[in-house]
Amino acid sequence: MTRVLFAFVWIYAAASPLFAADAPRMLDGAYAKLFAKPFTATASLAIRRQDWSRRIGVTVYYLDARRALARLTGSQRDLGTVALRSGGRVYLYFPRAELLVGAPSAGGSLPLFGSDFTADDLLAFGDLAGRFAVVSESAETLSGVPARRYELKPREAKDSPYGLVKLWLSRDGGAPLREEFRSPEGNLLREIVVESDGRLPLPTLWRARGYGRKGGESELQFHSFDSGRPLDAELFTVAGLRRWR
Amino acid sequence: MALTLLRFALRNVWRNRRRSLLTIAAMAGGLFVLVFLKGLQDGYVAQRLDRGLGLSLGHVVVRAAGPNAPGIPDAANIAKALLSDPSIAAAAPRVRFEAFAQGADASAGISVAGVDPAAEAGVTWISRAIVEGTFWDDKDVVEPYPIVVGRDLARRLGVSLGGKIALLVEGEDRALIAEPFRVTGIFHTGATLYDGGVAYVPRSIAARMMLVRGDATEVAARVRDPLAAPDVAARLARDPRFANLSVASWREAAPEMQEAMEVLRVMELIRTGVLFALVGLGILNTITMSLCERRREFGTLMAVGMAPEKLFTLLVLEVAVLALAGVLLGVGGAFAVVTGWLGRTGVNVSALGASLPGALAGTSVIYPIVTGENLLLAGAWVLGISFAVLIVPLYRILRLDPATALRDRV
Repeated sequence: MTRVLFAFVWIYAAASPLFAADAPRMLDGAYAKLFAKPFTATASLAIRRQDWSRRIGVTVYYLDARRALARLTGSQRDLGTVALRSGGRVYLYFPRAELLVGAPSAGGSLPLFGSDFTADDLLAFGDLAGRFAVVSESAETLSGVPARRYELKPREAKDSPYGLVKLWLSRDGGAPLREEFRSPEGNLLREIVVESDGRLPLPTLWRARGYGRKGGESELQFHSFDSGRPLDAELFTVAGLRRWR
Repeated sequence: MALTLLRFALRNVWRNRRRSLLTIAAMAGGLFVLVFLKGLQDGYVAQRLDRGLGLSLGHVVVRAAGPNAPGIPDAANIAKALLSDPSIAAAAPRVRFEAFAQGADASAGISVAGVDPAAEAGVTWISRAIVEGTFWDDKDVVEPYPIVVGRDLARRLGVSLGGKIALLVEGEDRALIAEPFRVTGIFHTGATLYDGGVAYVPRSIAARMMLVRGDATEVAARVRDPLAAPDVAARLARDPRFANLSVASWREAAPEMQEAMEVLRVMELIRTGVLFALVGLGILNTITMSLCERRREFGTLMAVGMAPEKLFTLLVLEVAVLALAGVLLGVGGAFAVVTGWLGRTGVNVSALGASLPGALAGTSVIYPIVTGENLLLAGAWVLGISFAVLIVPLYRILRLDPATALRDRV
């Protein structure tokens, strides 16, 4: 309950698009093209904790860098729950209960559907430059793959649980390889490792590990990707959320 | 000889009826006050345990041990094991959680109990506090699921019977889950916090929302004698059927109530001490005055040859007669008034400007309880103090010079 209320009292801190223009172009090549147009992707999300595991279906609808949503499928318990990131805010819509909960952008750092991923991991990846400022960039080889390593600081530090984010992007195509999220004290909070088998335009396997008290492992396996289908912008608005019933 | 002295003692007591009646009245009055106040406190404590704990927690609570084990597997078996103990009157599994409730007009943070109405009725009296609608039947547990809320909460959320409430919770898997409910019952207990912040939903739905490992977060039990709950909990904790579980009585599960009881116990000690001192002083005063008034009489008796030890026995017998009469009158009066009358009608403290709905879950009427043990203790104390206060006056009487005493004009 505390965490639920916490989401409501976070101070509104929408990421300013002005900063994006100043930031280095982190996503380029294939990934710049990928996030340049709407797409739909389906995945299965496996959540593992110390003594139980859960598997649910997720469909991601990406409209543009500022608007995307994820919808749960394949779960009797939370069927149809929608997480929307739009205009710097995050909304959760529970169609069965007809309940809409809104949170400032910082709500995007809370666990998504109980997994070790957050809404921002999936819905705001294309908005990295809007959310973070690059403090250093270096070349590195990660598991034999030539990569660029970025150290990122949240633009709105007071509203972010992170003090530093480390991001490794492939030098060939800009695909994400790994992310580390650290607290302001430098403790490792979460890490995401991304793998691609080349079947889909986006990485097919995302593994997240949380190190908090209730942390565990979550695995997101993408099955399909469709960028040819037009998406109605109305579905990515607060009013339009109710159409997902 | 003893019989003669007893006859003398009775005659002496009867001779000055007003003085004797005053002494007996002082003893009986003090004893009555002692018994009444003790009974009032015992009644308050018993009601607090019965109504306060009987509304929410229960007297003994079994929970999963350890912070990472939120659920109880096979709660029905645990309830059965509890009921096999003769001290346990009823047991009910529950799923407890905190939730965010959204009604037609407003939202609120509330406490939710997932219950089975039939089992819950044996442990708490919430089903008797329903003022509109009812608890649900099994056939009612379909979406939107039934929910029973407090009257104040219903007003705050802007819902009435049949109205919709959405509950949002964070499950054990950290997922935010929202479920739709419709109000099937509204209760009013009189306890402000309860009426304004508690709701009941079907246990199966609560367990699914919370993704509880097992089928309950606790099994609550009602103990036949609430004051014996700590002993019962300690005994159950040693039972292998409750291995890997935590068994707590209301003392551990509701430490704030235990603290309140401790404060009451200390206050009672102080008050009883002061009362006993006052009663003792009253008896000392009446007996001393009575003996002082009779100095010439004692001088005469000694002058005609009555031995000091016989005079001592006579005076002890006189006080024994007075004390016995006072104790019998006091005990009889206290039993008749406190048990026979106030025990049935209760003492409405709201008439004295006090309001206790929170403490007594909806009532300001305290029903005093008098036990035989308390009556015997109070009687023994009055008898003891009556003889104790005799020591100094007797010592002075026995050292009395008959010639001086005979000259007294008192």
